[in-house]
Amino acid sequence: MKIEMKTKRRIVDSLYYIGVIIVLIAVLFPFFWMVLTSIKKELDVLSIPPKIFFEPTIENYTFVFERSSIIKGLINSLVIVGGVIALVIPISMLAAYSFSRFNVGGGHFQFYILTVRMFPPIAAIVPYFVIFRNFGLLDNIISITLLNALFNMPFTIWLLVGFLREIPQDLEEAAMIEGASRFEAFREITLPLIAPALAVAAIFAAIFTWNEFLFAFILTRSEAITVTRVMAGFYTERGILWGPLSACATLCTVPMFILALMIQKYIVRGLTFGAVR
Amino acid sequence: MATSTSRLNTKLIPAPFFPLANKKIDGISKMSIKTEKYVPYLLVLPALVLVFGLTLYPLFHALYYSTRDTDLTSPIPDTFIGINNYRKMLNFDSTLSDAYVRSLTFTAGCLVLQIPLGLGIALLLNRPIRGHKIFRAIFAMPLVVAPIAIGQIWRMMYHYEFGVIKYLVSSVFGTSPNWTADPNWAMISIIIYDTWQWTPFVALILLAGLQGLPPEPYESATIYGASAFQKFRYITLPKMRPLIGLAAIFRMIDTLKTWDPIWAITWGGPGQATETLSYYLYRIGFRYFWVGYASAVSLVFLYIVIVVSTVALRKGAKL
Amino acid sequence: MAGVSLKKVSKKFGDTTAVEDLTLEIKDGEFFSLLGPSGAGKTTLLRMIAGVEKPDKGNICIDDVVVTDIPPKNREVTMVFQSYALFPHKTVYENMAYPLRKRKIPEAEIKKIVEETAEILHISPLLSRLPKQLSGGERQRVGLGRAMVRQPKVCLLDEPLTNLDAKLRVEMRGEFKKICKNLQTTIVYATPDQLEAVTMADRIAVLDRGRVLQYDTPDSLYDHPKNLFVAGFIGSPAMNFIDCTLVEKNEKTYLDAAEFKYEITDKAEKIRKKCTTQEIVLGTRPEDIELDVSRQKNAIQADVSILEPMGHRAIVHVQIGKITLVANVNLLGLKAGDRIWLRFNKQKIHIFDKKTGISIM
Repeated sequence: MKIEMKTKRRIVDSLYYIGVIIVLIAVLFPFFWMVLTSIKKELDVLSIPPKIFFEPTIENYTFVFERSSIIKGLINSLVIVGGVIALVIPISMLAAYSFSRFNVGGGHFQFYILTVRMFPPIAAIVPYFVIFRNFGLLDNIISITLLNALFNMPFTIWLLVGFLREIPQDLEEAAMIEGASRFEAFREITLPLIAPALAVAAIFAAIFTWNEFLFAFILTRSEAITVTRVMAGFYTERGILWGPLSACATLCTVPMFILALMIQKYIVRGLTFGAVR
Repeated sequence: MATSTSRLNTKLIPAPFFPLANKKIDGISKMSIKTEKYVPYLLVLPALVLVFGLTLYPLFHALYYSTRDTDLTSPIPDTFIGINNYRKMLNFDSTLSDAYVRSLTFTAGCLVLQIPLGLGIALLLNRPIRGHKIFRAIFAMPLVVAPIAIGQIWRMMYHYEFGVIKYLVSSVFGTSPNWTADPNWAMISIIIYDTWQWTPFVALILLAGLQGLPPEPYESATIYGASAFQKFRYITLPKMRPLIGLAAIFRMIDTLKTWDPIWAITWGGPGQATETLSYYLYRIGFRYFWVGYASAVSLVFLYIVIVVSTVALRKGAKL
Repeated sequence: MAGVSLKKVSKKFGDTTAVEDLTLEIKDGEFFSLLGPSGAGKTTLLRMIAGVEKPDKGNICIDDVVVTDIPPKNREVTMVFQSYALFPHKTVYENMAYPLRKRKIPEAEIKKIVEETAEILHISPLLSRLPKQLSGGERQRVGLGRAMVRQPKVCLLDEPLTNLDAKLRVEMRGEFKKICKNLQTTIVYATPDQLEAVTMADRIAVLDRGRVLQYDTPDSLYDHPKNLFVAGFIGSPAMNFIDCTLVEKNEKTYLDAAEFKYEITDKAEKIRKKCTTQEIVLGTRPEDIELDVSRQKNAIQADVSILEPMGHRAIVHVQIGKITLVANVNLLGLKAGDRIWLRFNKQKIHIFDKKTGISIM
């Protein structure tokens, strides 16, 4: 009897391990394939059956850097991300502070801001396109930055409100009683304590903006081209250039992984608006 | 103790260093009280200006155009046609209703796959294994990669000639569907992609929930001889229902909005097989440039999504 | 040092009334305690005096100056929060130096004052530590230290001893009183613990649900409580309350408590004049009950149910039929189950109108 139970548990345990490994393989496989393809020669990319062992090459990466607008795209995307963070963080911080300490608008404003998250961007883009076109704002870094800032704000405000709730108001009140004005209390007490949260919010905004494709695709051409648009430009008359595409994809993805590592503790919290810790 | 307190009477108390409050009353402090009332509103102002400005103005714009037959490719100036665009949506356009159906199919398919799978993975991982951080980091990867980038990689993997998915599937089953080129399988390809990308998200949410469950009910159940399945059905499931509902609501809202992967994997094709409402809107708005009609469809779409999301969230909040 | 006066102050939070039409005078330099159960409004009052909460109605004056609209930093008050509200990202030294920095006092002076204050509170070795590295008792002393470094007109304390463990609390009570006495500031001390209030304060205001029920010296509150609530709140063990009916028989007036009758003919006039009803509550403190093993004149028969010995005295629970009374008496060699005879100290009984709760005598 005893032996049966022990083996039974061993089998169950091994099943669990196998299950976990299967899940991990499933999740990581596409990334593995992406990187693998990026160092394959064209013939190897198209070979049937697919090859795992081959002679690696960097010709795809050279192709990307020489023949595509990746450099411009990278620079533009960086600028846009920087602009979005510069806009969104201060504005959201002020709004979040107001919502959490003063309960402005009794939740109605907050709800309105929440609905922006539900907006399907595609539905909003038709009017944006027409407006931007009429004002000559197409293919303009500033308009893209503004748009991305708009769509990242509800999320950021929500995240910050959640974090602010963890900083007791006692602290600000004690500072005010001991001689600080509300602004000084905010600057000297609240701000240092919420700085990590601001960093997390900034990183989330960076990730969403960097990966944004629809707006970039429709509202930019060559001047304000972003990395995502460059990603979409790998088809020719012959077909899609898979090798360079994989290389470009790898280039665009690696920075995101690094950022993700930094905020992985907050991923769930962030993506569910703080509804789930 | 006693020795130090004897110093209290003389040395400790510092002489007052500052003027009495009375004097300050007639100065800046009075003004700051008056303006204090408006500070909260001032703080939210920039956020509201940005949000209102960039949402309301386009909304009115869309309303305006939805009553016109604007076609950006046509040299003829647009005219006012009242509610004809809306009538067209309800009566004539079968492609539109097909798009609605496809959206529903996509959302339903995703939910049916992602929620149970996510729950299963969460249950799998809900053990005291160290390496939680690694799981979180790995599961975060599909969520932070640009759909346009990894989506095209999937397109490559689905390729009917050299695609690795086709290869693996035919090795196991002998044959493989023509994933992205077969109208019957195209939608499934996209659903599979979406599942790959978002199931980790569902799993992470549910895992957090599972880890927050108290152990006592399970211990009592073990004492009473309950099986693992019974424990799951009568303890775990009821307690996890609110969280599962929340995850489902988030996925539902997000799948309605999905656009990037469709472009990346199938371009809405073959034909219109994977053309959900989002993609349909893109086609009429930016390939045919029927701005007037597109505005009308956008507005209705927006309205539906917001209503559905609000109702779902309210119900979810009640749970 | 300044007096604080609250005139007809009211504050509501949504539908809940925290404080209602409250008027209070706190004297210059006194140790004043706000006593009451949770939700009585003590914290709200303190916050309104401090200025972080604004009253809906009424005025608050510090030192005869109306401060209702003045921001907290200009009011010259200081406050020790129940949670101590220590700045988690600043060291103990920085926490204590903060009020002085805000007053633009030169660094050298600040160092001197902070170090002296730390010396008195015995927290000198902790000056370079962060709050999260401190124990509860240490944090409390840092909170106190931060309040002590400048000389405020009023020092507000919100249940500072509540979060300490029992033993520490008793130790700190004595220390606290000493420190506060030497501060020479007006002190307003909120607590739900009547023992703290009674041992430390010059005067106490008993609060319940936003209203002041009585404010007076501890002795007056003990000897002359104005209503049932105050009588039952002050004093430990609590006063015994017995429901009775005013009854007249054979030209004598009795308080009929079903299990026994108590004659009060000499006080009958007074009672009838002030009372609105025949329903009376008879109150007597445990220390005012006399127990005897042998029958005495006018004594009531009772059985000992529980005995809690405390050194040379004991808390004795006695049963008169269905009525249970608690007595605090010298140990008489009693045991549970003994039959004893009980007498009330007639000078010290309290009579309350059951309907209004007000004391009649």
